[in-house]
Amino acid sequence: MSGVELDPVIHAPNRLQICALLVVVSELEFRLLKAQLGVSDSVLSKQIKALEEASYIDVIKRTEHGRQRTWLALNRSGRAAFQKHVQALRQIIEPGAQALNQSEG
Amino acid sequence: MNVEKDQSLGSHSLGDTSIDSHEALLQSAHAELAVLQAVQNQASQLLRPPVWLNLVLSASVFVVLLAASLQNHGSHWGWIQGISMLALFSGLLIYYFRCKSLGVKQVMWPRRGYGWLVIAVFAALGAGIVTAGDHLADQGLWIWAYVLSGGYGVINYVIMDRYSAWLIAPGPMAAAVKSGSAKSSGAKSQ
Repeated sequence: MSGVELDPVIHAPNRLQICALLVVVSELEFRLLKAQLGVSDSVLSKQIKALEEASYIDVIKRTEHGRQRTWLALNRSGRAAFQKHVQALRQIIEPGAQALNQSEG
Repeated sequence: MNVEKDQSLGSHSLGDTSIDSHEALLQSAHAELAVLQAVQNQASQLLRPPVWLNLVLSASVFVVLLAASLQNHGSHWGWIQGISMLALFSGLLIYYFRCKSLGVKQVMWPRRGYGWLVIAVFAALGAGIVTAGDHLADQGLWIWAYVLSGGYGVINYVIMDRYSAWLIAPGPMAAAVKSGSAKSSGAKSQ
């Protein structure tokens, strides 16, 4: 018997997408993330709050050219959690695929 | 959330909720990895430079390598290399600030060993092309310096156009894509 650890914070579809987008960049702006996910401000804020409470992302507010922009970044623990989550998904799939092939054989 | 797997019984528990079907968990994992693969494409589109900028960057890479290969065969290649390096650097700066104005800040340095490995492979390939180009030019086969450097420029263009997210941040996403392809092969076997 083996235990596979899936992260409950990252497991939610919107949060999975947020983490997956943030892992390939250094920082992403709130409005761009909202457009990419196709969700409302309130929905995105709620998801970000959940990730922030889990200490997975950093929310950085900067004033650029007299306009405040909110940037989001996946921090070290967020990256580690995301990586672990992806590995857990692979662990679920790979033995499954092997079992499937064996049963077919 | 702890997913206990028991292959001998074929049953799984997902936290407090028991999932009896092995297939259900597999499908859920496949669905999540499919989402990750779609996000990888989305991220590539975000990081993709416009065609004109990609052409400038790839042409600069081509000329930098060509000039480095032929530097021993003419004094003019020295300043050509200088100008092309300046063009490459300017192109990278434009790329960085363009992405920033759109709302994306790129990763400047790889965070994982895999990212450094990708850089090392590309650097080694570039060095190999310069050495081979110089050697072949010595033997009078000038055209090969153009062909090899041009090939590298084309590879650079294709990667920046199609796999920019993978190039910039390989690692977890690459793992997701790998699993995604495993999924499709699994689906074929079904």
